[in-house]
Amino acid sequence: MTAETFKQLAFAIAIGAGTIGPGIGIGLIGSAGVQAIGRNPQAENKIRASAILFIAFAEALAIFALVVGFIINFV
Amino acid sequence: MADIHISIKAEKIAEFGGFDFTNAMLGSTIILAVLIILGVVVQASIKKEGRPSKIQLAVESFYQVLDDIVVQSLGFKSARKYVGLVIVLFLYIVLGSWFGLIPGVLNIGFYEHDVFVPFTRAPTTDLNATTALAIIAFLTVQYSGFSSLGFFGYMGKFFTVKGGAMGSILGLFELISEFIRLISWSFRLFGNIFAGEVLIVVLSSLTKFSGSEGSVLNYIGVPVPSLIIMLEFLVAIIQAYVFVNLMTVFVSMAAEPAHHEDHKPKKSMTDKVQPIVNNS
Repeated sequence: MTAETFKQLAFAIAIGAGTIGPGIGIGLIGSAGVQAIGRNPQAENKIRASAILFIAFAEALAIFALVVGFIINFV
Repeated sequence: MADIHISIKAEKIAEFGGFDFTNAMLGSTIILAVLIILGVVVQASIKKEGRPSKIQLAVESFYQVLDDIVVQSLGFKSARKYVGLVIVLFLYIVLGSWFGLIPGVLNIGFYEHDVFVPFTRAPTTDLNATTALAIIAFLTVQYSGFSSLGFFGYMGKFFTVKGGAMGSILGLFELISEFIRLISWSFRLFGNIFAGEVLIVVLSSLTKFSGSEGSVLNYIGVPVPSLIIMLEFLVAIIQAYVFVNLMTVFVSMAAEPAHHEDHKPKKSMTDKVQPIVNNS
């Protein structure tokens, strides 16, 4: 197995394992957000704004994993 | 699939006496020119009397949306100082990311040692540009802290002995987290926009009929990345909104006095809501 092969494998593992946590996190945030809208439909705008913000936090972790994968493969 | 070339670093297209001018810098210059022209055009179309012009209405409603975001976190009085910066950052991030989605922007270039170098590139796909934006946001947060609490008041939030050992360690953690935000801001924006661009490039190269170079069938896969391009339009807006919102939230958090003192009421409590409902 050459170094090139290992690089590609490492890229795949990095992005694959790095999206598990944020995926679960975004699911939890989304479900809490939707339940909150269900309880209080008048506050939908504020809840949606907060939920997008928190989801972006969680997604940033997946993006970190993706960038690390890029660096492993291309640098 | 061998003819796609993805490079994380922005490629150099010209050199000015030892200073490399990269293609992301050229994209950034174009975006700045667009923003300046936009500003001049909007300024010229403002009418002080009579019905507002259409450009003025559109720009004012856009301004109102961002103004609401800032006022939500900062209150009416302190928001004035930061709304201008918020709007410029939002527009730069959105236009800088949309720039890479215009057809042809990444395809017109030249060959240098068998490697294709495009002339322009979206500025937010360059880690230098996103780090610069993150530094601007970081300095804005520090300015807010220093101007609200004074030099020793703000430093006292991090280097403190009042809470005992626990308080001082927590203060150091807060100091570290101030700097981690730099990395988080820049990498979030860079990763989202760059990954979108790579996705478009890879998808475009996957949907070619191999072996049909000269014929019309070669271009049959052209509409396929259009769905991803539509998604990237939305992602650019969301990432700009998140960047700006986080900066606003941290600005308001930096202006708060330290928590473990005797709880004085916050100064800006009265200008967070318009006094219609009772807010006990």
